[in-house]
Amino acid sequence: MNKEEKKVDFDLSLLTLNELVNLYDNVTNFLSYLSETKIEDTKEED
Amino acid sequence: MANFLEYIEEDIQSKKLLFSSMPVKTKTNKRKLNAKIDEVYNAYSEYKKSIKKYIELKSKSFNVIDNRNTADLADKISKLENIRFILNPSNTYFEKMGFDTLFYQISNSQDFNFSSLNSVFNEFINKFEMVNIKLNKSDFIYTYYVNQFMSSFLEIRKSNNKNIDQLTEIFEKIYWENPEIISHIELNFRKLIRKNEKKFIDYINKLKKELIEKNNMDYKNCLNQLSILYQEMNTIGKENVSDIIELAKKGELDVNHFFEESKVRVSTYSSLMLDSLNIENEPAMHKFYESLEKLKNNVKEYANYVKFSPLINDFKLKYLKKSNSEINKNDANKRLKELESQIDKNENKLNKLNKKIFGTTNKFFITKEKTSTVDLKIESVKQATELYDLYQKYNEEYFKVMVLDVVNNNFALKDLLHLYYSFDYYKKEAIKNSYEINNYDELIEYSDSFDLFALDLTNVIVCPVNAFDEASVAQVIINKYRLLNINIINEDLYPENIDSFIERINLILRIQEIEKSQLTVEKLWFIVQVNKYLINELENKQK
Repeated sequence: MNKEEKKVDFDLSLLTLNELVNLYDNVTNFLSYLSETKIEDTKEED
Repeated sequence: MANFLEYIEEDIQSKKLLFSSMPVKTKTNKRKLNAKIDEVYNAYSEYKKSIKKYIELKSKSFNVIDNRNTADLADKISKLENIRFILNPSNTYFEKMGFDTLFYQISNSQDFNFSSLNSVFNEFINKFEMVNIKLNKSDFIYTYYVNQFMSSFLEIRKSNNKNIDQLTEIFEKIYWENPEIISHIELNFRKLIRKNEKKFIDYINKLKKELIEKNNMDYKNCLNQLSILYQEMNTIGKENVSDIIELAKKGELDVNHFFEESKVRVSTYSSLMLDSLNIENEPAMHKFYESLEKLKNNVKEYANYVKFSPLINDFKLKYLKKSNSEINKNDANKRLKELESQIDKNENKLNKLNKKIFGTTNKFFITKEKTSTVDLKIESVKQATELYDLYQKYNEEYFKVMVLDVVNNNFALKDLLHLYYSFDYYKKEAIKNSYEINNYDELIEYSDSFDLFALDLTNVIVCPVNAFDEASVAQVIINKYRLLNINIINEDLYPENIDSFIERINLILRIQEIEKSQLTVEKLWFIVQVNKYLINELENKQK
């Protein structure tokens, strides 16, 4: 992958309405996943 | 260069892979994992904020502002409806003063609490005051018990005391001695109205004259103007894009059915066309949409006739059966007069009896007559109850006279609607009998929806009541619209299918409404999605 391909365009106006909804869903679902993945109990000794 | 969505999709996959490969055996491992998750979480929370802000703004930019202002029109209609009510040539001062509505409430007192019943008595007294008649306790001498209760009622009313505990106590005491007290108070009011009839007639006539002069219109002009305004209201009030957006936001319609590739959309279009039309053929499609709009209004009107068909059939049976139509109007009038004179005769008799009772109770030495006073009271209650039956017969005859005055072979559905609208008491009675309704609120709901239907001057279905049956009216609609290339069949107009049939028409009309506006189906779908996110967020916050 060259340098140009690795660049990201964060401009939301480039996305279609469907893509915007997908984007929001992906981010929201991932945030839920992160909350669930976090390990609560860190009290035990090494 | 990747766009934001592509980047996010890739990034999420790689982050998930990273977290799944991180060791979690020790406390340090876990701490490291959590720290990494927090870092990613914060970054994604920021992404979410920006995306949310952007999509909310975008969704708002698609919104269509509703510029319609129906308030002025509604106000004009309401003023004209008031004139129509007073100028209505079909009823009398009795209905225009609203006495019939109050009597209906009294005769259904079992559905009211004591406080509401007192409000009804109060309203009666207010109406007398409107014509400058100040009622006092000497006006309420129908029976000894009526006088006892109404004397206390008037005293409390005069003192402006809102606490009705004392009155409740008096009522309960009387009630156990005379459970028919409410019916007898009703008769007392009926008698007072008859006695003061001229004052009420003069009051209404003066009001009519003022309305005619002030507005420079008679009843016919009033109807003509109302008809124009109702048509205007139908045009302005027609469902538009802003309505569709609101319905979609509320989840009352499924936007997915609006997309071109939707099976529901495709099948609805083809199911409503007799010969399929080319969607590109604009004139043909315009005609199709126009016919559907008219069909929708006709089906809605038909649905009302279906709803009120028990009432229509009950009327047919009672007043339009051959044997009934032979009843001479003069005979009915004669019977009404006979009942009236019978009532007068019996009320005079009761009056004499009451004079004895009131005379006896006012005497200082009453020991000797005590037994006979009790007997007199029992006799007076008996006579009042007999009078109640006579009044019931009178009421029946009264409406029969009114009906015979207007029915003929051409008596149409719209005439029937107008007749019942003009006589609230009989309309409610008929609704109660036709639908076996026991709940007062339900009855009022039916009655109000009937009035709304009866008042609508844009109704177009013309049919003599005698010839009315649901199937034949349905057939008229079917025949008309099949000629206009609309595929409508008998089953569509079965009562249980009407709502879904209207929804099918609505789907097509809504798609057309969207297509001719700035909105697109995709934009509408987007508005709905964003609205869902906002609702979810609000619900999560509340949790």
